[in-house]
Amino acid sequence: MGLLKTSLRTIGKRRSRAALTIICITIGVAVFAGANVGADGVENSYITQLLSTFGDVDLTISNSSNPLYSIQYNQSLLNQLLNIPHVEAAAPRITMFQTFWFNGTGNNTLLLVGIDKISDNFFGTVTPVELIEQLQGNNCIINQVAADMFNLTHGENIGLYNPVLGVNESVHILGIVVFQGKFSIEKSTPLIVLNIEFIQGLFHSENQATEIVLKIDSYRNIETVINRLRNIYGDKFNYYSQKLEALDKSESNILVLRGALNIFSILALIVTFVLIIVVMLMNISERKRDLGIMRSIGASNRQIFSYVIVETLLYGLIGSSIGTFAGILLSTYMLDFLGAAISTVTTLGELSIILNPLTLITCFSTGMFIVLLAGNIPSIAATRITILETFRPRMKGVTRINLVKKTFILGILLLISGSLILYLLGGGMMLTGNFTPILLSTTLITAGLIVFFNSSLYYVSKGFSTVFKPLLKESKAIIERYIARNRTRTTFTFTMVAIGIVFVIFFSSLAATFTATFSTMIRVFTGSDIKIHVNPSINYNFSSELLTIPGVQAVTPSYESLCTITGEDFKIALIFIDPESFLDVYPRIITASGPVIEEAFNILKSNNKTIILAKKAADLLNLTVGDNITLNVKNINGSIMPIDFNIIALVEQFYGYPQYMFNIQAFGDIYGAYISISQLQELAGTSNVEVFFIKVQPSLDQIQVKNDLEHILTPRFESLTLISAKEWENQISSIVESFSNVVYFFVGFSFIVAAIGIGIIMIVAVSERKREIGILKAMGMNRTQVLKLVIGEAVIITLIGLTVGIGGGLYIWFLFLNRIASTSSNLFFELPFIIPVDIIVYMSVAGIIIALVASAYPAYRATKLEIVDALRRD
Amino acid sequence: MSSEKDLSQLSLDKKVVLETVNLSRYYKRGEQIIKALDNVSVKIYRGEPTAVMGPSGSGKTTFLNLIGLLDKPTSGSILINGQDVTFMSSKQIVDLRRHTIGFIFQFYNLIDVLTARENVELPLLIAGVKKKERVQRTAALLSLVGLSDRVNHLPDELSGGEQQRVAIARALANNPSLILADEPTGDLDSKTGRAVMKILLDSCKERDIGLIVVTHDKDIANLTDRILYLRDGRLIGETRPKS
Repeated sequence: MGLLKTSLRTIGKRRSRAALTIICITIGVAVFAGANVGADGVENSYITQLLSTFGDVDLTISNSSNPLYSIQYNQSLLNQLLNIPHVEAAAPRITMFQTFWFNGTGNNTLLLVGIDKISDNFFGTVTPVELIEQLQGNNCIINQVAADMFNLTHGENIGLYNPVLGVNESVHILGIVVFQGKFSIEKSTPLIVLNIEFIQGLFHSENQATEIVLKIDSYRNIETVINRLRNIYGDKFNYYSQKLEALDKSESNILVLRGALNIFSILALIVTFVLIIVVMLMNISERKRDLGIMRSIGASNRQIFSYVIVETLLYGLIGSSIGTFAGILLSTYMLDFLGAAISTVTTLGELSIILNPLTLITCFSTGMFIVLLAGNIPSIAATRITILETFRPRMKGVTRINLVKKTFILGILLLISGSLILYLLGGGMMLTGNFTPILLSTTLITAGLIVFFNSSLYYVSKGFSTVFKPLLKESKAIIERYIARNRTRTTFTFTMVAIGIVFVIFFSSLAATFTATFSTMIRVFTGSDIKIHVNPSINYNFSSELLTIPGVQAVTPSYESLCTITGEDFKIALIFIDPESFLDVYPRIITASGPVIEEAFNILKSNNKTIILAKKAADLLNLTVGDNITLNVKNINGSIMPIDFNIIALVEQFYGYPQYMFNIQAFGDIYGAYISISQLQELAGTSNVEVFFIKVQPSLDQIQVKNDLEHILTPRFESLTLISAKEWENQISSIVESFSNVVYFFVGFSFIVAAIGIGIIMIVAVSERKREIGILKAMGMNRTQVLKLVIGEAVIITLIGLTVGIGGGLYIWFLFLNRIASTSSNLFFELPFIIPVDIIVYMSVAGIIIALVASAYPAYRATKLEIVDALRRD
Repeated sequence: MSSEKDLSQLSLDKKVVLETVNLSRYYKRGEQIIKALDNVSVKIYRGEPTAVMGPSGSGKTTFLNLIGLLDKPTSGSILINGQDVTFMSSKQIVDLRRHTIGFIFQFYNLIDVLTARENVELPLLIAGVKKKERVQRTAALLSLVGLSDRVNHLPDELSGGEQQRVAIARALANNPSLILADEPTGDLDSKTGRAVMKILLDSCKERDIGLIVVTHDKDIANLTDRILYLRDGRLIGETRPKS
């Protein structure tokens, strides 16, 4: 009680210090809580959205010996199931695909569903709902799909006839409805719903059902119910939950979402941890005299330790409580931003805050734990203060700067190991989707750079301050020494800045490179400005008609047939092209061997059974120009014929078919081959094609021309799809933009944390250097010079952070790009190393602004310091 | 630069470097008025080191703070080189600190992170002196205080006496008219203290600088040419030890 009272009085007396400590804790806990509450919200809306695609059935119980066999049930079994905790409803159900002859004609397969109308009322609604109440005898309800498919109407009687099953019944359609929840099994499946007893009668199978369906109070309890059922019934039944399966499949997505938010919440906690130590050490240093007095009147180490830790915990109590509530508010903004950022790619539905008590308790407890952990260091420091030191102040021992620390070698080693990991393990990441190597190497490379800069801080700070010498003038010598001597503090501050920047530069480079590459790819591989897909197909000569449409400069038809080669694993996509017009749309094509492309196309036009083959396929088959290749060509009727083709040239690139730009496993081992479209009838059994590629007149807007084409062609075809390269580009840009938005969102967060960190560290720096600032003022330093001293230091530390971040981000991106290029050597295109100059400029400007803003208040405090106060000895 | 010019123009009496006229500083503590300094009028001359003595609470520190322009008087005026500096603007005060007043403190108050050379060079840097001149003056001053062989040492690597000698060199750096020393030997043993005082006194005399030394130590005070005695904020007398 005594300690608590003393601590409370100390807090009351030193309000500004107390406020500073509480602010540090509040911010850290708020970011942590915000990220966690936000993650709950994201997870919840993701799961809600995911589960909304399923019905109300949470669990299906079927016969374990064979799920197709029926399950024997009675009321007692249903009651037993209903008595299991979390089970809200249970009903038998018959679900079977059956073939019937409607009204004696046709051969139709539809899903026959038999329901227990009383129990099934718990599983959702039917529109109109009262129809289900009338579902008895030979009355049925059908879905819109069945009505459309079999041309059935409300009030009609339909004859269900199946001589094999011995069924010959007439059923009356009560209504055609849209089923919600319970029957949304297959949205495109024709469905006929009858009373279960009617179906049982139909098949002479009383008390038999295909399955028993259960409704459970929450998806979180499905697993518990399954375990309980297993305990009771053992392996007698099969327990299947479509929802659980979907959740399992999407678990990695949820983990990624949570993981991304958790990274930043952990970062916030680390920052908080260090800030608590820094601020509390400052508190202790300012209170040395009090502690000395306590010690001189007999306080033990334990009592001094407890005094400081109790005070820290009081700050923690206030900070963690405010922080947790502030985090809830913060999460609202986070969710709004996150939702907006990814809206162009996907929607998570309505993102709302989920106040999970466990999350809130975790956030509060984590805050307290961090405070307790961090509080130990100043508490131990307080126990080491001697009485002598307290009453006869000595200058803080300043040792000579290590020009280069030995950890320099560690930094280099970390850099090399990070680079090696990316080089050795990172290659397959594009194919396997395993990004662990890149994360590991990013961490190692960033850590290596931090250690490297830390170890050579003397030269680093000297270098930066020399660059700014004209601005810093007399402050230069002091700033560079402060930075180099306060190694740990400087390193912590620039690390806070660097971490966010590394990620933003990496992802911005990725976005910039892929945007540029995709733009090129779209131009090269679609080649054309507009792709038209028509249904039904039309004679390829339709291209001459298309050419008459205003704005169209060139048109070429296209038809693709996938061929196998006997004895080979890969396939050849035989692309039928018009040699007359193809080069007008794709002028950049060149041959890898054989005659020039114009000549090769001339041969293609005038000689049947000649092809231009993919060089890679020829290499695999050990074939060259002039050789023959036998392809198993598929006719439109499905028959396959082996046909010999004479290879007239080899090419590397296949325009018009983006899917063949890779020949890596992910896209299937398919290579291309060009053949004249004049052989289409002979080889494929048709002269009709579905695809035309168009080149728009250069001066015209391709989207406008596309819209005009759509307007003209829509009445001619049942269905028509047009896509312009520009739109595709825009789509990709919007995906990249969304991706970037998410990255910026996290970077914004880390910048805020960095700004707070810089601000607090500079406040502490000013507080600790009160005496120095007093001396400098006594020697005639004016306000501007004092401002330069504080702001200059913050700016230089931020610049070091920016250098580490930008350098690290670009280096990791360079390695990553290199690995993709060398691993996926089959890429037809090059991934250029693009430096996102604009982003680097924005980040640098933002970083400097942050440093200026964050150090403004401490700098102001420094200018306001009175010399008398600064030089006074406590 | 302009105020430096003003100062030289306004300098009426070259001998008098500092003059206080009815200088008072009162504090309010609750309803009570504390007279920390009460109507002190005194003249300090160039080349005549002066000590200020008095018991605790006599007003020594208040007097030093006021003449060092670290505090504002309640009434009275302060003239430095004949110019009334009592209510100067902060810009003019900064200018005075750069060119006219040098400070020496009890606990040396050197900048921890700078070497002896850099500490002495600092006031010259702040005043915007060119590099070549800075280097020359710093070397000469460190030689004057006998620290030519310790120029690249950090304060923590120097003894108390050495640190105070660096502080003296720093105070002399900008050729001030007046040096204010607050217990300059308070943290030193008597032998070292006397040695440091000798350097300080000789330097001021050689350069015709006004020196005010606030001290408790009678022996140190007796090394100066003149001792002023303060009690309860009032100037109660003065002696000339050497005469």
